[in-house]
Amino acid sequence: MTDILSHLPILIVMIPFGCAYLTPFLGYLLKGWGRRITAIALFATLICSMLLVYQVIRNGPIIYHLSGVLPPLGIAFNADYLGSAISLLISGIVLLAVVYDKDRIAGLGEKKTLFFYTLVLLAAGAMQGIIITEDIFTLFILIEILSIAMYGLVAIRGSGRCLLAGYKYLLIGSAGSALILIGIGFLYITTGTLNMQIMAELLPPISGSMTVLAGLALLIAGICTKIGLFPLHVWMPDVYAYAPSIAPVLSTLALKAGVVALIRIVYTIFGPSLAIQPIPLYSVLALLGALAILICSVLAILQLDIRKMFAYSSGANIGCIVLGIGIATQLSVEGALLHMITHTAGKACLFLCADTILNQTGIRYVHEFRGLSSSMPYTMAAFLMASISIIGLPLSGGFMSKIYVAGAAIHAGHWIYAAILLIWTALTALYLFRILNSAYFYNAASTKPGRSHTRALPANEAPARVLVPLLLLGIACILLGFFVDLPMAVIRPAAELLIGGGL
Amino acid sequence: MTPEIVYSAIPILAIVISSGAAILIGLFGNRVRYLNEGVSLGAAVIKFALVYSMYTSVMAGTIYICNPVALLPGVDFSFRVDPIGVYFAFLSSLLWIVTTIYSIGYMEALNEHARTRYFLSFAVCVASTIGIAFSGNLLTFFIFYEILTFATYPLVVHTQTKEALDAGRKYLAYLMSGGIVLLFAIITTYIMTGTLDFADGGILAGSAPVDTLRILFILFMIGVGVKTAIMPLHAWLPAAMVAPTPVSALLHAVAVVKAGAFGVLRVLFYVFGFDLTQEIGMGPFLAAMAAITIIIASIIALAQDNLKMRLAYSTVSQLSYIVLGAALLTPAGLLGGIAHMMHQAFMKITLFFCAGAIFALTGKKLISEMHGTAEDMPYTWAAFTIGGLGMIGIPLTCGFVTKWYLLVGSLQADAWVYIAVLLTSALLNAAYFLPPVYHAYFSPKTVARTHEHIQTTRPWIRLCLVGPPVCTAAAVIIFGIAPLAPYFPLDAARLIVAWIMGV
Repeated sequence: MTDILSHLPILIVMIPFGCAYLTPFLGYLLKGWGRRITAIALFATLICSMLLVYQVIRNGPIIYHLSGVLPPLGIAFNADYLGSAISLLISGIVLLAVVYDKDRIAGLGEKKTLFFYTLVLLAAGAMQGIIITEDIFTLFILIEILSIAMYGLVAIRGSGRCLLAGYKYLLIGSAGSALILIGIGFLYITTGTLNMQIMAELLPPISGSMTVLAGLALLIAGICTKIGLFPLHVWMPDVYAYAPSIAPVLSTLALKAGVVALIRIVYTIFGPSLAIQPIPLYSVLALLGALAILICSVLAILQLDIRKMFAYSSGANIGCIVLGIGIATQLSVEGALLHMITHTAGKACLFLCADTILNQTGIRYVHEFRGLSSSMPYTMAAFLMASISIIGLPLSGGFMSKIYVAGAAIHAGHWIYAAILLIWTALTALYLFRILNSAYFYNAASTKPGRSHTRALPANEAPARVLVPLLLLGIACILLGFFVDLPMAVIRPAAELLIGGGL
Repeated sequence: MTPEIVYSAIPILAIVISSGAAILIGLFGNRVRYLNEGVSLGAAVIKFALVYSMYTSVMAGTIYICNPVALLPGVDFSFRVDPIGVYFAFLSSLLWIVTTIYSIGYMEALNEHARTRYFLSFAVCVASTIGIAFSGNLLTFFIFYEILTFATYPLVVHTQTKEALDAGRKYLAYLMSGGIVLLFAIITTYIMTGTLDFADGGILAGSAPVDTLRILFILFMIGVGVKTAIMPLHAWLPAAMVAPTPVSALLHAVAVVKAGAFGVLRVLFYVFGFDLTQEIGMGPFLAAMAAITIIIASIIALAQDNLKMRLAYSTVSQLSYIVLGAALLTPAGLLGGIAHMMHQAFMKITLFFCAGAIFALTGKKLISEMHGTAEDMPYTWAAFTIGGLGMIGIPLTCGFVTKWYLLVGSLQADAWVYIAVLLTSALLNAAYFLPPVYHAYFSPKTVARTHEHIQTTRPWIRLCLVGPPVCTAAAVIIFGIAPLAPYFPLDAARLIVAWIMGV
């Protein structure tokens, strides 16, 4: 038993990867089992993630050497507090998304649905790897696997806007990957190692060299493309709007995996160097984050397609997380990590709701939401709860994480950032209220608001299997506000480790 | 005075009762006839009993404390029932019973739609009002404060007409902006002092330079001032008059604006503290704002023909009495201000109930249409007359009592200008309350325009509509005749002042 437990870090990566190869065959042999196999694999991953978090909380970070070869030669996985916490988050939400999903996805044939789940598993495995790997080249490979799986997921319909969105994603994503690869190359030639910890020790004396700085710049630019940080967010709206089924949820998670990679780069690898060689990296990140918050929120207000709106909203939320990382204090990193969790839960719920609504009624624009609360009460209840958290209304998870980041900003003397965070709440409210308002306070029958009791739309509530994940996520969004201590138990040591090791 | 501290869950129970009612209504309100009404009434009575039991013992020197979970490091989700808190809770839970009865009659008489949503929002409003009253720190206060804002929104837009939705938008825009400013001030306070607990002497003393504290004071006052409708932050209140009359009662007497006034008192005396408020010298500034509001709002009220609009501007004016009393920073002024919280609530709720009863039973909204209606509705107009006389401050009504103390307070502060303001305001009150009364009794009936005349034959509905204002009008007289009887507003206010002044 202890034998298996010591292999947990590799299991959370390999279970999804292994099953990704099995799904097409087994799914082909056993009709309709593609999704079930995926769900079983993800459930096993979830169990492993839970055990991992438990172990990490009890015994501290677990370092796992692949095939027992030690670095600098071997590849190491470091399941620390940050990695295990985000691993649990990702495996939990992917599982819920797959449980939510249908056996036959609209617009995809049986064969393509199997491929769809293969890609889901590949993406899930890659994300798990990205967040715990300690080897920077492995990081690159996993980012590539994740990206390619995501391109496939977005474009899988193979026609029309899906294809176009996928193509756009592919172009920008490949540019990002190229930057990352060159950046890694620069760092490798100067340090001669690919292991993050060793690199961090070797870098400080040479951190003034142009090669290292160029490597850092390329890496940051590449990662920022992947996480859609302003001004590199341009691929997100199309991807979110036209990706089929649960692909937007996976994309939200992929952003978070990218953020973890960013954290590893700016804190784990460059933290010690930045303490010696002060370049304003953190302030630039904070500034970009603040700009992302403001500009993406304004763009979100302008959208009529709710999924594009959510895409811009994700851009703003990534901005908030990067702002927290950029402020670079214990409190701000805690806030950023907490916001990663609350935003993922909220946004996943919103995307699932949007997908349910699209499937059941074909609605995708804000003004079509009129009176939807009476025909889809449970879906809209989940939507409402997630919106409360995304806006940051008390008392919800989003409220707590925003308070943390804003408090950290004030604590570090950045009043203006705190003000931006609070104004952001109002901006978010502006676009989400528009949807809620038409759903709850307009009647479906007339185009004008009125008090007629007639309902044009038939009651088209989704089946219970779909509603359970939605409501679970929605309730989780709210409850996170009450039980913020739970995630904090992992987040606090994670932030201590990052800040303590880095600054 | 050393209080006896009791750790008890009763404060939470009082909130849970209303929340439980909200959940019950939400789940079954649509299916069971009269469940909405029954549950609301039952919850109101039980909650009043709980609050009353605390009221008597807190007035005898007990303090209830309860901290269920931690929200931020050093900040619990905390409840603390002290004299001023229980005073506010007593006020709102007592009037809540009356309002519920009135609501039932009003909704039935006008055959309103969406009753489940209505009663659900009402229950949430009242739960959050009690939460505001019992909150033991600024964050808990803020959480309930914001919940109150959002729970009131469905009530404001209840009719779902264009006018109502516009008013709702205005309402949210004002109150959310205020909330954001308040949150900013709260986070700043937390970072500066490390605590958010309300303390009898304030928590901010010596934490920052005087100028910073002044800015913080202004931020706090904007935050709570929006709900208190201090000019120029008042525009949402008259706009919200499109809501059904029981909602107006809720806004004007039971919960919303009173929560703002309560917030002003909390911030002045439990965050800044009596001494610090005096030291930073912002009292006169606040008093001046209040005085301007008192006069200007009264003048605007003169010009209104819609009875509810006239009452709305009267509320704007009267609320600033409370603020003025507190801002004078003298014992008598404070006493007058705090007593006015309760007195104004009784008078204003009487007036609104009457206006609503007239509208529900005759369909008349404008004062110019109400000539001679006293003949048909003698009890309603008698109650209205008493309320109006109270507002003017005629002896033997409770309005006189508070005005007296406010005048004494102004004398103590050597602020002659406020004496002039108060007396002018009394004249203006007379100018806008006496004409409707005069016309109702002595003018000949106007020829009814083609109004949709609502015929209500069922006597219990009439009783529900006319009974509550008669009861509250009686209270106006009783509080005026024997203001110092034990547990009466003035008696309680004396105790609260003793606490605040540390006597």
